[in-house]
Amino acid sequence: MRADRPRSAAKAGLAPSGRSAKPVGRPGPGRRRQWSGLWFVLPALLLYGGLILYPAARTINLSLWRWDGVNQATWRGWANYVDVALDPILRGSILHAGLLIVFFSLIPVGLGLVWASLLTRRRIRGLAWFRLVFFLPQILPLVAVGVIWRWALAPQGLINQVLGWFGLDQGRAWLGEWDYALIAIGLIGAWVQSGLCMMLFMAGCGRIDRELYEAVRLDGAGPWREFWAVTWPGLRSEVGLALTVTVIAALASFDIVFVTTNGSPGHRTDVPGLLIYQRLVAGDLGHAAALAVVLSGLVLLAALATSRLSRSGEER
Amino acid sequence: MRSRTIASWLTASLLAVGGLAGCSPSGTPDPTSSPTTSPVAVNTTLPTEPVQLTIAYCDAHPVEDLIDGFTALHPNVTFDKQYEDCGNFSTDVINRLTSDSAPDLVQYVDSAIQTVAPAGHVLDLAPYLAAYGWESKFPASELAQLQLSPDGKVHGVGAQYGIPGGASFTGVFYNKTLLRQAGVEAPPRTLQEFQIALKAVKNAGLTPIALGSLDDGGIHLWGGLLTSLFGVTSAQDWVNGRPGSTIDLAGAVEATAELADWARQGYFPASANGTKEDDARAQFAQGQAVFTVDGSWAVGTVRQGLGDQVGFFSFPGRSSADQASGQGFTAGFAISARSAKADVAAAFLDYLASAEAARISVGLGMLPVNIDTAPAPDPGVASDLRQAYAQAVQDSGIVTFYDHATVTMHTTLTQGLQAVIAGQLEPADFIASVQADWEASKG
Repeated sequence: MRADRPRSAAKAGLAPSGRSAKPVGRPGPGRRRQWSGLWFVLPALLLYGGLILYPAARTINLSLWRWDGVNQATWRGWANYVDVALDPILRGSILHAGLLIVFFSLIPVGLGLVWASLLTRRRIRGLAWFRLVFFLPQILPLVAVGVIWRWALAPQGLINQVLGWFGLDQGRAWLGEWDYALIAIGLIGAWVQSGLCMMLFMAGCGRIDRELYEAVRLDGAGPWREFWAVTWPGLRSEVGLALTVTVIAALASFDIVFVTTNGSPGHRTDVPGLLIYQRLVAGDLGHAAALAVVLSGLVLLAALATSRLSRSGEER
Repeated sequence: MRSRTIASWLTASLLAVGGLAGCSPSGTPDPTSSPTTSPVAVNTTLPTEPVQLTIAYCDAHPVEDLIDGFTALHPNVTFDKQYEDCGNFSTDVINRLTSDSAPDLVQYVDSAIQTVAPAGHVLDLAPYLAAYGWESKFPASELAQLQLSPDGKVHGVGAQYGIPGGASFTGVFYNKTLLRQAGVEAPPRTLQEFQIALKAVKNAGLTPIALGSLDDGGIHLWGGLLTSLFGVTSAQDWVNGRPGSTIDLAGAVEATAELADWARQGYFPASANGTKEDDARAQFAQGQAVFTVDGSWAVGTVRQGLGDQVGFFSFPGRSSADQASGQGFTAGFAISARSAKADVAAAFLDYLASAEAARISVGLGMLPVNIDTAPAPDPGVASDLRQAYAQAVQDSGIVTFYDHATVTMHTTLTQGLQAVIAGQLEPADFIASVQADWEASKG
């Protein structure tokens, strides 16, 4: 036990390697902290405090009031949070965000894994071109993505024209359809996020030792076995990262929804980000802030969960 | 372990700061800095030395045309024109009027003025009203739309916060050729005749109504039905926020049920909920539908597409003897309570009542504020519109747009009507949700 201590301390970079080697005249690290170090982090701390912590605290504070931004505020306590939990529109938006996780996150991760394993299995000519094409949606501004898809999904748009080749065009406005609008938005998200996942996974595949593939092949494994034995374990941390990024994108989605449907039809595509904005411009800062706090909490939980998932994978 | 410690420390510190900032977010109003809401003495003669007014607006036409007209008469008055996109204008007006460098004049935005007027940021124009005799220069119904109670919740009473600069009016545009093709000889004069015409058009294989309910189209169509079946007075009281009003009555439910029935009958294209009003207007202007319910601002587009084939009538009532009605709101101007040049700004407002200003509005194809002083419009749809509007003014049948009732009403109505059109929301439940929005705001 005692022999262990110097080693772990040294590992943490906190203590000199031996007890006897303690320099004279300098305070021991365990006894007094070196506050001078604070000066080095001060600029970052001020920025972080001013731009992140203070606004966050302000939002929490605002969420306890009814305030239109101009006139006298009235104290509401937890009532705004009760509304978030009980108001079917606010609660519905959180459920919609949950469904979007399937499209923004699970489908892209699945597709990304398939593409990445297909594209890395053997040398493919024009690989750079494929990469560019699949990654393109990721570099477009989301507003442009929304506008493009709004046209494509319009009654006379691309999607209906393609359906028309098979005699299926009924002149539907997909983004105005009661049952399909949210799914349509989900598919736009899947289109955007799949390229990112594929890029991440291809980079991850590049790090996997080629010899492992050779070994499983020598053992007679097919592509399926090869994927589960080598590719999947090797990509765990990338999958974790992709899940974190895309789940946050799903929960915090705003741009695409704002540009394509703005919550239509009949609140079917409301998402928390959109409602926060709508309440904000309607002068209902209390509900906007309460919903923002709830959304931040959900995002934080999702990020913790996905990072834990990938970390537990690493340890295994 | 460490990350958990950091997370809990972070949460604790956030909560602590949130608690420390536990005072009211608006702080205590400082009585010395709060602007005066009414000038003590007013002066109606313009100064002769150069003066510059700042003006914030979102409708480039007619605002810039009216400014040009005014400066042509008074070259010593110049304007610092601060244009802003209409999509953000409401928030923009709130920010500007509450700032220390507020513009002298702003284009009147109902929701924004409702928010900032109670805090004393908008000038009560009562002294100017008397000094200029505006009550005899502007129609009473137009002035009433720009009046607001001290708490900002009731329209048509209290302080005069704005002066009308141009009117708008909704009703039904129709395609004369297609209507005749469907075997209907004259435009309908009652709701029943309208229903018969719609059925005839549908049976003739044509699209009866071009509807863009993705945004405002649903509100305008439903508004027509509502005014007819709910009645002008009860509708206006409700929009004005008159205490004790309710929309949760049989007439409103009946109007909504009628809309739902029209949707079921296939009187709108299946894509209505995914179509913007602008796009529906374009469909109508291309001859793809026989009717569309739209406003005076649509005249230019439909006339360009259909020429003399397009006509206009007020949304019909239960009987042809009912008062003529439609929804509208006057595009007005307000003066900042901080303006040091309120007298000059008021002179600009007075100009809006002049025959010259009316001529400019009519030239742009708009409805003039004061129909008595305005020149006659071009024959055709513009003339139909003017006639219908004049009749509605005479019958006191102009109801403020229903989405003006509360600041959240636009979303409540748009989204709710989409659900009604999709057959997913019962008319009675829709009306109950609309009343709930109203009570949350006025209660």
